[in-house]
Amino acid sequence: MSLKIRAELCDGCGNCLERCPFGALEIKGGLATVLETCTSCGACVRVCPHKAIELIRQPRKAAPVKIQDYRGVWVFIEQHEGRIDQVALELLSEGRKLADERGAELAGVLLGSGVEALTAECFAYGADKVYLADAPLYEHYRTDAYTDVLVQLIRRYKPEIILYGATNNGRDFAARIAVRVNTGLTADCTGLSIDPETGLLRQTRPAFGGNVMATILCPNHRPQMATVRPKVMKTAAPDPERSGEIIRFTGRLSEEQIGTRVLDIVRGAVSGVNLQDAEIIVSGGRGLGGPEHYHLIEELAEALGGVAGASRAAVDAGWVPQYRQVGQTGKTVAPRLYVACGISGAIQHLAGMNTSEIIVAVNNDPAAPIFNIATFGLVGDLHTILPLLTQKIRALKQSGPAEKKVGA
Amino acid sequence: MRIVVCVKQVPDTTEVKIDPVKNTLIRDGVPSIVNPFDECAVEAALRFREEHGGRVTALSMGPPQAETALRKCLAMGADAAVLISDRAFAGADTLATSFALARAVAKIGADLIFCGKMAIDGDTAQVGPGIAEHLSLTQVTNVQKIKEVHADHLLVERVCDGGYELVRAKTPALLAVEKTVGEPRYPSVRGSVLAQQTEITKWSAADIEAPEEKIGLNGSPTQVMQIFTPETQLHSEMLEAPSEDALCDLLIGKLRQAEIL
Amino acid sequence: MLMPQGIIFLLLAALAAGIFIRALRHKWRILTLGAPENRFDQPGRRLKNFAALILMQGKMVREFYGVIHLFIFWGFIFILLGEIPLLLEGIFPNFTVPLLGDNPYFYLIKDVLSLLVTVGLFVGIIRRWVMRPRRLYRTAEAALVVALVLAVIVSDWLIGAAKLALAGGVLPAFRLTVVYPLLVPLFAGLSPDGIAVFQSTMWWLHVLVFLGFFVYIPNSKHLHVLAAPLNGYFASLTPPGAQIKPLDPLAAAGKEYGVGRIENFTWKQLLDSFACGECGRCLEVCPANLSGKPLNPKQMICRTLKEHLLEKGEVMRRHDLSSTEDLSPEKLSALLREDPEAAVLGKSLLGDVFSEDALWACTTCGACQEVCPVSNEHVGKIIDMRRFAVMNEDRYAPELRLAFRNVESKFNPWGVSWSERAAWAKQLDVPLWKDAGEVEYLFWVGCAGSFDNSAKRVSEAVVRLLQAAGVRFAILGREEKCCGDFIRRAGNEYLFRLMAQENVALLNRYGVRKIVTACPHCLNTLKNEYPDLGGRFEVIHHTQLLWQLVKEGRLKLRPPETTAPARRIAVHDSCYLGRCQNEYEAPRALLSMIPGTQILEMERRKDRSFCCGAGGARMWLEEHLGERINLMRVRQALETEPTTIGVNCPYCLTMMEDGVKDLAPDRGVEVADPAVLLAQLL
Repeated sequence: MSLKIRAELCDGCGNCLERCPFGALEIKGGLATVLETCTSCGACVRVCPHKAIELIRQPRKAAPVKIQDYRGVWVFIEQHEGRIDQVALELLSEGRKLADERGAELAGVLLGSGVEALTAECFAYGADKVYLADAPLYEHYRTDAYTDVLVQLIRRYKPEIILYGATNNGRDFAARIAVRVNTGLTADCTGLSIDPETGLLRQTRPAFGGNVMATILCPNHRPQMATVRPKVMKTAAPDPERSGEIIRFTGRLSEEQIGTRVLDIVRGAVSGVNLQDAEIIVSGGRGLGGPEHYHLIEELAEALGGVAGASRAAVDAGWVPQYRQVGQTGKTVAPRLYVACGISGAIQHLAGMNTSEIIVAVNNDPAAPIFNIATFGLVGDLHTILPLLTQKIRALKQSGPAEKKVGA
Repeated sequence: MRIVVCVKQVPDTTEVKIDPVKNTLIRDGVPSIVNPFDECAVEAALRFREEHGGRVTALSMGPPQAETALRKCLAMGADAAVLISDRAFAGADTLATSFALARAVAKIGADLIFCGKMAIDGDTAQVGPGIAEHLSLTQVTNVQKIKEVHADHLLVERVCDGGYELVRAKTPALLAVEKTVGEPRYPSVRGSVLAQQTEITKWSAADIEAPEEKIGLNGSPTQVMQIFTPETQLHSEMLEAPSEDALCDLLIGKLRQAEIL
Repeated sequence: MLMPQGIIFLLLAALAAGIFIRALRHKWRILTLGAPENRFDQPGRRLKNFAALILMQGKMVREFYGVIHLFIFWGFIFILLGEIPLLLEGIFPNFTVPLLGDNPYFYLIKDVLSLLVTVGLFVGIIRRWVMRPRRLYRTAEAALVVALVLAVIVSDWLIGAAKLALAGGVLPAFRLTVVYPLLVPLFAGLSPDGIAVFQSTMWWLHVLVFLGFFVYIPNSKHLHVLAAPLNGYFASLTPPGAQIKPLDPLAAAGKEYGVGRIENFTWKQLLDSFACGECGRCLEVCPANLSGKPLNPKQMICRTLKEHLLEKGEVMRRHDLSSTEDLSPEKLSALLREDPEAAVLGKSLLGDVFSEDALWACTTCGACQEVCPVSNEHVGKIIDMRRFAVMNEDRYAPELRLAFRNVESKFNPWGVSWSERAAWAKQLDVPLWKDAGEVEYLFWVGCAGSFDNSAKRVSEAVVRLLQAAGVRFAILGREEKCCGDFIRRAGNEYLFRLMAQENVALLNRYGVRKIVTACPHCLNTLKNEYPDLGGRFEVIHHTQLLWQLVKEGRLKLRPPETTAPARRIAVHDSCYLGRCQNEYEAPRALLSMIPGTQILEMERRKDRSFCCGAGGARMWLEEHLGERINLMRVRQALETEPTTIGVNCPYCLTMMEDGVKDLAPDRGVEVADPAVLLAQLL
């Protein structure tokens, strides 16, 4: 089982070299040669114009499953306390498209306790059917119970495709289901489509820390399963007129056979200043001009639902307590949004925050090095910009959420 | 208590760059590291041992060089290390990987298995649950804290949306941990020196009695169809507007586009 | 014929000698608890050192009080010599000691020196007890010693004067003396017998005082009169930057790393404590101490370590222990039952004896060693104890841990992406060594020069200047890794060796011979510390190379088109280019080339320069205690009213820039490396 170059077909064109993400191919004596670093990913096979590259697999005795028996697209409907997660609606919308392309039905799989009313919403977002396991046993998500239900359903109804939200729960049990029914699972997909030639589900996902994208197939096993990153797929407008069939179902496990029990759910236990866990951080530096202006930082942080931080200069100057310090000798953070205000961007600071997803810099010096790494740079006086920004964000948050829920 | 902690050696993905001309990954010289989540798993395992006793074995699957990752675990304080390494494992997806690791765990014997939440080069979070399934063990993923340890069960905190669940889990179990479970210790010099001098057990596919059709490429239902470089990447952008008011609006628009607001 | 008084004297002298030898033997037995160290090589160089440092009091005489000490030193020697005729002639009245007893020139010198010593002692008394400088202790011991010396001198004067009076005011041997004849009138009116009785009484008094002093020496700080000359001879012959002892953690796996117990210092390190004369010069130059941190270099040597050494050494010898490393807790508690003083055996240097805050306050600037008249080595001890803290006990600040971790994974202490190391050079057309072909110099950029914004500008300037001078050079780019300077000074020899060995292997593989660097820390490590690991390179600082290029006429600068505004440049000497490399000229010469420049000298300059606060791994540690050192240094610089502060080290650059931003944000004072200013004239 490995990559094989068929010497009689290879003309050393080098197409494969360019495609190999691992630099595991080289041209030697006019022939492509496989190096030690090959991971048998197969990325090169398709780009060879001469079909000279082959992935050699052990000959199988027979296909493990009769793939033609599997029909339909399923979406796992994750719900919490009687509310369907946004990602499930996104997946219904996406699943609808896939099902239409495959000329098949779209079904939701809904588990919970007293959640039957939610089926209407599933239909509204495109489901033709909902498999419903409604029992106290399923009140909280639990790996064993949920896996059991899905596996029984799969064995009985044989779907072709199952999509799960790439949430903590979706990722938790999808992997177990994949092992139990012996099929493939692609994690954290950001793109899904049907291969026009083969009808297979093309599952595209980032790899190597987002440096590359990989498209994954699951040709010989069913169902084809993927977890899908939330907020990537678009939610279609719901159609409240739609309805469909509810198929009730119960798993086999009893309470004693389930390995876990959820004793309590603690929410909102996020502490005041936890820079390292914060999704949003607003930091102030020397440019603040004095401790009396730090409230600008705190107010913007509060408006954004984030945490206030500071650079070493501001801490050393005694304006801000040390526990708020971000940087080499302070805390290393990687929030989704980092707003650096009046921070020039000394390396000691950058070292602590440069892996933040989005960096906004506000500084009155257009040559400040912080702008080199900022996603968005604003040149100007923070003393005027910050209060404006805070005010606008507050206004937005008061009127905003409804607008966003519907989405586009 | 027999504790196994599963670790993966990964390229430091923050150091993987794209060759702008060839559009391929530049992996030349990229340092290999222990997957950061797995380092936290090691930390969790060591803290567990320090409080409740036991023996910690670090387990990894990978090429012979993955020994370095295991030495790091030994340096941190693991008692033993096992590397399963075989050409036949190459090309394994998460299903085949979790199968092979599960065989190794079974051979080592474990009452408690620690895994990192996921690996930074694959981001799948699937191998931990896969191992648990192969061994029919209770699993808890996204664990941020082990609160109580009892003879036949644990109380752990599992991160969920906006908070955490307090979960009672029967043992033996597999725990996949979040980074918040504990900052991984920086190995002491003494530990590092000791790790250099500790023997690492190496097992082949045959040693763990893993049939060829269930490992490596053959045991992998998924196939990589193509790999390509994403086009959309955020670049530095200086926002300009006639007034500070407009500048703020511009920024808010950008942040909404990025779904931060 | 021996008189009865001769017998009594001999008995007293024998008693004193016995006590003296016993005390010395005790010190010897304690000193030999120390670990071995070879300081017996190169006797020629050592003798020269001895002559310069001890006989000429080379370090002492740089200040007024030191000149006084030079008189006291030589006065002491001549007074000692004078004891020979004085004592022998006291016992054998008819005997004259050849060369001394009848030598008028000897008595002249002794006489003058005695006067100078007396004056010196009074100056000393006024200084110590009236002016009360911080660097001196006002102990009873110091008072006693002054009193004893004065008593020795005054009694000698009186004896000599009496002798002269008895001889009728004329003695050939005393013919050139001043003091004796001056005192003769005191005896006017006394009968010869009376004078003889007085003389003999004085003589006995003198004998008692002298022998008492003799006995007192080994048990007081005046042991330094014996130990300091030894220390001068055994002084380190390696440059200050090369004094850290190599240690291979893998080879020493079973042993304790670093020094956590006093007997693990070498005998020479222990001798330092005996050699210390408690002059406190180190205290006056120590940036950690002056900024109010708990490190007191003087106290460390002459109190903290010495007292612990004496206490523990005594107990160790009592129980016949040569080391406490293998002393089990059981054995210790058994010892404790019979000897409560054995508790000292369980004390660790780290924390119990020496405070951890003091340990980490040192910037390794080396100012203390530079000024120490008895060649004590402070920094090595601190590094040894840090090694114990870091490598043996795993006890050190979390921010340092982060810096170590970053170096390990990203090869630079900030943890910036390793692949970005050469990003600064993208626009500059600098070849990488691996594809450079024939080049003369490797430009070692260093971590700061690669990643820190201000230091990157220095790197760029160096590149442009070298290119303009037609120097063929290349950089290593991503292949360069942290040299390990701060790691080693933080006590982590394990990680230092990992980094250094990789760098040495690469440099040797590439056949690098000559290296230029803009970082004095890299310079010192590459030049002075890599040879131990098999890397021998000719390494110079960029200011040295640039100055050489200017002198050779290869680097030509054009004067600015417009007349530049006058620049007042305060020169800040970095510790690692200054005290470590002894280079003060090149940076000044380069700065002087900038048109309209006036060079300003700070009070603390050159080998007396004041650290910026970042050396010795301090760059990577928070400064929680005392005043910030960089602010103190910037304040000193601002006193000269500069427009620019000239620096030559990336650490100094950062620290001074930060300080200027804090202290004088509106004065527009620029902090600049000479290269940056010169590159503007290309």
